[in-house]
Amino acid sequence: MNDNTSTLEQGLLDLSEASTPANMLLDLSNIMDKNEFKSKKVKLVLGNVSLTPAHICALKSILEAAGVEIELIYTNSVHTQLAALGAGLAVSEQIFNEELKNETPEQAVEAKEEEQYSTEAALEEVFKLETVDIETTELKSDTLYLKQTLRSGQVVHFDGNIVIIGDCHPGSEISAAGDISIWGVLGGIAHAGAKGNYNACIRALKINAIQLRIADLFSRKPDNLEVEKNEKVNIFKPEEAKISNGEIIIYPLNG
Amino acid sequence: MANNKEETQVMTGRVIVVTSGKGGVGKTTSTANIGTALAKNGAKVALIDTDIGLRNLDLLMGLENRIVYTIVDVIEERCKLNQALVKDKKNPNLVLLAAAQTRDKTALTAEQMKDICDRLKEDFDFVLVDSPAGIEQGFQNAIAGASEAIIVTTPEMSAVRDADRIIGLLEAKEEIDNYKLLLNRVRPAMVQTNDMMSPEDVLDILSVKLLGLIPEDENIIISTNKGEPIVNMDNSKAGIAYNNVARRIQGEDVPFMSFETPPTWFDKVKSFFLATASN
Repeated sequence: MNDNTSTLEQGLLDLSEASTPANMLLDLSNIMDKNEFKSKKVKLVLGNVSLTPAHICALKSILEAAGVEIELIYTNSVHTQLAALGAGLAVSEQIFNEELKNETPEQAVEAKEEEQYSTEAALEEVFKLETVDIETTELKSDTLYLKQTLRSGQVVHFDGNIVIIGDCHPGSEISAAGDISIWGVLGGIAHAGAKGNYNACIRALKINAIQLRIADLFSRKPDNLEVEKNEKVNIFKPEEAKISNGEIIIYPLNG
Repeated sequence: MANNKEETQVMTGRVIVVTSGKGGVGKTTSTANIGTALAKNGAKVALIDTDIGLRNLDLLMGLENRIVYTIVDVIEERCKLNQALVKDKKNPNLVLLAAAQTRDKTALTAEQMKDICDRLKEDFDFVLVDSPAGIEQGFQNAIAGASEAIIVTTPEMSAVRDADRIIGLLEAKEEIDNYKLLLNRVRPAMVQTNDMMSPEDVLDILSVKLLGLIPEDENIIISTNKGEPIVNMDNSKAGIAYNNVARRIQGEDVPFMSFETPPTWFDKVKSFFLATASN
């Protein structure tokens, strides 16, 4: 774990080499004891290890004792994702090793800011980038299946499809490389095809989203729409949002 | 405040945190009034103000002048816990553990807070913890020792959004198994004309159980300035509502106040004219 000094400075901590949760907690304690970790926030890479809510609590306490806050947890294991979400932490699918080395958090933030396109040229640049992405990475078709209502402030990232049995309140964010299906009311921000898949779609029993994003396009709720004070869920209208002619269009699903 | 170890009964009181996310929606007012109402009904109640640096609970209770030791003095062991509990002016069953005004929220940790709650719940039926606004250290400290929560909000989108965030954070905390909503500053007339969100609207958005509805009442301003909780004032709508909340907490099934005002003869005449005019 010696070559981790650069990643330590970025706030990334790779614990995926541990074979069991107990070893993972031990590794983390050792790292904290050595006092090498300078940053106040950390992103944990947990690999394939399955952690229970109790393990997540233990991880949090070790870090809290050192004054460090968990910003994000990268994990491949669905159990760990659910446990982390249950503890109120942001979760994402494991990032590939190449990305670990190449992309610093600053670059990631810059890449996001570039999404605010003002010129055609900038758009074309991104088109080129996105197509390269599709060719080189394998699109996983794993599906994350969550039976939970997402409240404001909760985020879910997954490198595949996401199915949520429950509502997504305004203030929540969902981002999937594949499709997003909400068995409930979608009120927050949903980003399907987050890695550049223009064929991704977003479905919900009722789409009342603040913003819908597919690949690099986004659309928002119209301002002049007479917005009811409340989102009544008595009448469900299953709808699907897809890209059609360069725009995100919402289609009804039961007609 | 009996601490007889000879008695085999250990009272484990209920530790309830009153929180909201949004500032200014009525957490401190609710804590003061619900606590006073519970004490009037015979329970032994301890109020804890965790808004360190911006303390207000002592003002609302009218106990500002009587504070010698604060929660920070207890933590830093300058005094015993008993010495820091200030008895209420009217009701000896009610005590206040005040916050320190000269420090800030970093003066306390979650573990220390949990320890204090654990010690207090041995001697009191109810421990009400007044949380500060926000989701940072102050809030985390306030919820540390609690097993129940009251989420206070007003019928406005900003407050409701923040309440949703808070509920999400509370759901993630295993120890809190019971949380309910207190909808404050409801204006029945505006709800009827559809200018304000109704309680049903708020419950629809938040998906949480309702504990009580407190109507907007100008007497609150008077009671705050006097340092006299409104439940002690006669004939105030908010006072009655807070009393009902206390009874519900104690297990009684109290129906919610109906806010519909029956139409006056003038309203009926007006609506008759409007109906004929539109024909």
